[in-house]
Amino acid sequence: MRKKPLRVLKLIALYAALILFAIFMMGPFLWILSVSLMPGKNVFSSPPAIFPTFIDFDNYVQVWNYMDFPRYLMNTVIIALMGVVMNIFFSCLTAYPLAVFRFKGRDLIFALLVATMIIPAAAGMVVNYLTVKALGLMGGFLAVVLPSAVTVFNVFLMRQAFMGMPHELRDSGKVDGASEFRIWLQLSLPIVKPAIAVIGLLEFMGMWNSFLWPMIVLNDTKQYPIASALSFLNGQFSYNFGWIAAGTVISVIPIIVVFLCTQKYYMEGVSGAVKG
Amino acid sequence: MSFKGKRLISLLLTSMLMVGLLAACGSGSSGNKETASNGNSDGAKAGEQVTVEFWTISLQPTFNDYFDKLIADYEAQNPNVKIDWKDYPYDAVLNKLMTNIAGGDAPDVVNLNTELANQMGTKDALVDFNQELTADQKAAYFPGIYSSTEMNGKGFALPWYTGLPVLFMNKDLVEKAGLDPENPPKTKQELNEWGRQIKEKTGAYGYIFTMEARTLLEENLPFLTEDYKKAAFNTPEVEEYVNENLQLLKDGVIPKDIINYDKQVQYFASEQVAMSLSSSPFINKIKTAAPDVYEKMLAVPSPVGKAGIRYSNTMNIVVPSATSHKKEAVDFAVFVTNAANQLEFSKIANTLPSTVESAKDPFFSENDGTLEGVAKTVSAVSLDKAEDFYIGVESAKDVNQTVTKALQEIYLNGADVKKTLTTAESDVNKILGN
Amino acid sequence: MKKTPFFSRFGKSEASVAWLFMTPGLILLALFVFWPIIYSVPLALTNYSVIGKTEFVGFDNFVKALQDKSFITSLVNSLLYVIVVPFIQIFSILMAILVNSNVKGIKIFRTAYYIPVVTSMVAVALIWGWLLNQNGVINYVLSSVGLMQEKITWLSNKDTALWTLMFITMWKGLGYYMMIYLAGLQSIPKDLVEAAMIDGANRAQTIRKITIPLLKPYVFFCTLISLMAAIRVFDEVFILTMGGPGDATLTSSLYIYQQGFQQFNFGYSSALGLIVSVMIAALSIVIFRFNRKGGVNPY
Repeated sequence: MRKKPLRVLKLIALYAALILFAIFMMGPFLWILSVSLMPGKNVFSSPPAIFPTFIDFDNYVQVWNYMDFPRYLMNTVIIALMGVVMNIFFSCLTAYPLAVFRFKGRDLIFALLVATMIIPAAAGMVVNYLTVKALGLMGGFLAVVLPSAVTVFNVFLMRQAFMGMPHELRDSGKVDGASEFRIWLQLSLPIVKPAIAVIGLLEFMGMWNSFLWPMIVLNDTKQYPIASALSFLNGQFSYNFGWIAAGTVISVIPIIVVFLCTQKYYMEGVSGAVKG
Repeated sequence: MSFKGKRLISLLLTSMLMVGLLAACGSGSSGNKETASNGNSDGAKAGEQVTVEFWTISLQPTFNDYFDKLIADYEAQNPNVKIDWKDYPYDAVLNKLMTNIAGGDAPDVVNLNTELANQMGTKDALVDFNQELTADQKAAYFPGIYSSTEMNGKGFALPWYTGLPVLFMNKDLVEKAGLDPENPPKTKQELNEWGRQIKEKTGAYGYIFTMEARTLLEENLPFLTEDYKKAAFNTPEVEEYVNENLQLLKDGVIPKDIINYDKQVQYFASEQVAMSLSSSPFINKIKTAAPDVYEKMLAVPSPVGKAGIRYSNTMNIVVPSATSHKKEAVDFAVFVTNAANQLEFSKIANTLPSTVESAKDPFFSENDGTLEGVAKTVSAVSLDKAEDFYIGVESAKDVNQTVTKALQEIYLNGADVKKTLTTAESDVNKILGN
Repeated sequence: MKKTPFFSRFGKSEASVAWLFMTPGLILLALFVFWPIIYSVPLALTNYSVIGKTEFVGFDNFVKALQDKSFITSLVNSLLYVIVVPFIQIFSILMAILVNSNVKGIKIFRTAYYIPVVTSMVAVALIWGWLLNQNGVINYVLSSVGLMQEKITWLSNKDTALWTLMFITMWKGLGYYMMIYLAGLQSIPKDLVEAAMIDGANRAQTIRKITIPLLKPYVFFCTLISLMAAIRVFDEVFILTMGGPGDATLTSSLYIYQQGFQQFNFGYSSALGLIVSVMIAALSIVIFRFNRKGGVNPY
């Protein structure tokens, strides 16, 4: 009898905490959103406008007409998908033996890989440019994707995931006379599916947000991904605060949608990946 | 064994195929560039087709029409030259230029600011215009601006569009402080007095002070000795000037903050500051960020320090020495920066030209009464005395950074004035090689 | 009959099969990860500037680095930055526990907390720079509740700038780590917690005795990732303070970048990179040793 009001109170407290914290975390994004929806309003009015007082899509219409969004978004999707597919494919291949095989030099390779995660390569951008050029890829999407087509982080993640796979699985596959490749493809990969989902999502976001490297290797601005294209809005002649805000919102929406849609899968994924 | 082997081979093949396929679709667009530059490598003879790669910073798509016409005109006059115009965002252009030069893909004509042009020029990476240009051609530019990219007798760049500082005021705040915007401050001293009064009467900051090293030069306090061999800023005069600013900081006349361009916009747009020294693009930033503040914005001639100079901010055109078509590149650089083309660009971009002839156009003296118009006319009058901020030594950037850091230490971190100047002095002397 | 040959055959050729699997990935890693690092070794012995003439300078760059006050400061700042790591873990675990409840609309809140991760750094810098200035909202709140007498410009004050940057790094990263911990929490069997509650344990006790120990592998993973991110921190510093005021927020990756792309001194910048790498490598060996003794198995 006395429990009910208490539970309601608790629930209210929980929601209050959740909402306060949400404003703290989302504040800057909400501010950008409000700014983009309120053309003609002082962006730097105090206190910052977290919620719009009126809504007008002028900025969106104008920036959409100023820049070729469909093209840039399409470029971004292609680049991001290429990155996701290549990362999944190569890191699954590379990580598999590091996790389940026994061979000489295995630990050394792994240690070397992890070591590179902390080493800052000062002239890395210049050297990678030379490599991409030597491979004859300059100016294409592959030049954008290839340098990060497999990352040590992902190999690390996949290795942990494969390590969590039961040993009997591979043995039973061998008993049935399957090749290592078949065991990998048909028995092992399904088990690490959640980890694959994680890589997919993280790579998608990473590729979506990368802006400097694409500008370095692409010669034609028509090939730019959205993050690179948006930096044109920051020039001294094209500067328009509302447009920058609207462009930013447009570019973030797809990521939020992807995040919402994959949330369940993603969580299963990380747990599978780290458990190992 | 054979079954397993096959599988492994197919695995390898799959991955190879993947790389190959992606490579095929990736390299398609890069192909034409290769052929284009191969087709006209070094020593292009007259009549042979030459492609000149021309880079600008953040001008597309706003000025596409202007450049399309400019290029069409040039190509019509020079049928053997094709101009390949590329425009990159400000954030990427330096990295892009570095990697391209490293890869042997240097562009032929590039748009750079004065600091970068000097930095590259001192490393012998740019064509010397003093060698390429006739005296008449050189005389077309304002001598102060042209000499901002000259060192050891070499001219690294042709000046292009430029901007000069204007004092922007928030009319409401200034009037609230009981000051008359019709009779604006003319010297730094008067600016300080105005600032003090604004602080007292309104609580807002007086004006924005950037704390950069160049502020010393504006007060006629040189960094270096005349022979550029030694630091010269550890003097009682500099100390006095710095202490004066410290007092202004303490009194809240200027904000105690590292000021970059965005901060300047924020302070002015949120009406936290009454006055700001900036050039005309500032108007556009305020206009789009704070239309209500734009309405009460006034432009007046910028007050000058003891040196009486107003530094311009110039965009230049350079020709990297790695170019394989020096003659055509220089010719096109001259064409882009000639009086007629600069005048036209200034008109559409609302910037100032760096050529004497174009500045005579009534466009720069006729005041249409708008904020943009006033800002243009009040700044254009000092074009003939204008020069960009520049320290005439190879390691200018190092020297500048050392002095700026020392000033930040004093103004923001409360470091001892004398001690900090002495340390900075010895650091600069070390940079200069003694 | 069939079983044994297969086993022995695999035993012999396991290494070659392993290499076949790894080759494509390793080739790419060699090209784009190892090659730049290897390349930087000879580069560090030159004055390579990309645009000017390159000359061999021996160990000059290393000698210069050891006398470079700014470089030493940047190393100290980068090490200080690591302090953010435990805070990230604590707050993201707490957040994960908060959003692990099954109330209505929790997915929206999770998304809300994740949004800083995907908001562009430029936008983040703009608003935080504004909130944190002298007349900003933060100062207004702090002084009106009496927590502060003098108004501070958080990012332009040498005593607060680095900590403020760390706060922003944390704020931006919390959502990322929260999601990883949330996954960990969801993998903890519910009956375990319920049983403990029935036995009379309160909420705090179950968190300490059950949740935290079971989260250990996640804590290890997140600590490692956030540690590397902290050591390599660049974006926040580059956009918000550029290392200032003075050298108060200069971090080693920013300094390495400045020497390369702003001073055109790629030789020197490579030497700095190598010095930092050696130091970090030494540090991680110590940490790993320590970790093993402490009984936490990293893999």
